[in-house]
Amino acid sequence: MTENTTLTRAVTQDRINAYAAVSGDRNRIHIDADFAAATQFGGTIAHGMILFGYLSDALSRTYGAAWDESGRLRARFRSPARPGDQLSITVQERVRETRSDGTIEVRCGVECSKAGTAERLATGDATLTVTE
Amino acid sequence: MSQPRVSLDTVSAGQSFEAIPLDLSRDTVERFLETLEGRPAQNAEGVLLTPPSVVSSLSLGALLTRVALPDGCLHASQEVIMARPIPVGASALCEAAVSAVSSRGGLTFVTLDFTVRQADARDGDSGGDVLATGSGTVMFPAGGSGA
Repeated sequence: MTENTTLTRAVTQDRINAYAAVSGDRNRIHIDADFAAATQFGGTIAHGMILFGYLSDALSRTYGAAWDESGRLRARFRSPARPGDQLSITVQERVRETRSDGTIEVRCGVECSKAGTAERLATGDATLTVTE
Repeated sequence: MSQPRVSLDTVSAGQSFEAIPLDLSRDTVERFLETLEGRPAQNAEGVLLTPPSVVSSLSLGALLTRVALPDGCLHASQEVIMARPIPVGASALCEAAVSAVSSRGGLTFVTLDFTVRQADARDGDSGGDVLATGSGTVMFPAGGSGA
């Protein structure tokens, strides 16, 4: 059986500010509109770790506790997400392999893109162990 | 006494940082999950688990108490590997080190590796077990700040 999941998320400055507060990552590119306006981005951008969190959450919703217990996620941030962006986060299961101990290794591709476009903001791969 | 905070544009490969306690309390994990629109998972015994994304974010946050990011610093990539389940409320430490520093295209890339270990072992067998590992690569303009 293969699993596929798609989530949608909205990027807002409030969410970016909240992540900055809880994480301690107060890099001005994320939270200082005046500073960010003078950069090549022309405005604030979301923390890459917010996208990483969305990818992980999509995996958690797909595989439940198995993800939190045994997951491995590797992601590359390709393009920034900005306030106002609508995101589509997808998990696509690619491989299931039974190991000698009877557990099953699951490998997935994950992606965060701008909803309704082909623009990929973060891509990666994930691995976890399931028992069924 | 803890190490002084250093700027990321001054670190070199091999440099390590003092172990930093991680706050994996229920309140902290829930605040992260609320921000990320996530939800906690429970194992078969009903124990709430700390998601990999929260482990990564907390480790990065802990590192930021040791390392200052130059203005305009961007996150290039991130990895986390769960070695074992981490119950919400567990006591853990984050160890970190610079594994690579390189430059290309006018940008400096710094890779920081982290290891999360159990901190409150109650018997000699489980002391300091690795709970998770990972790494993050950030980039910033070579030679200083500015995005």
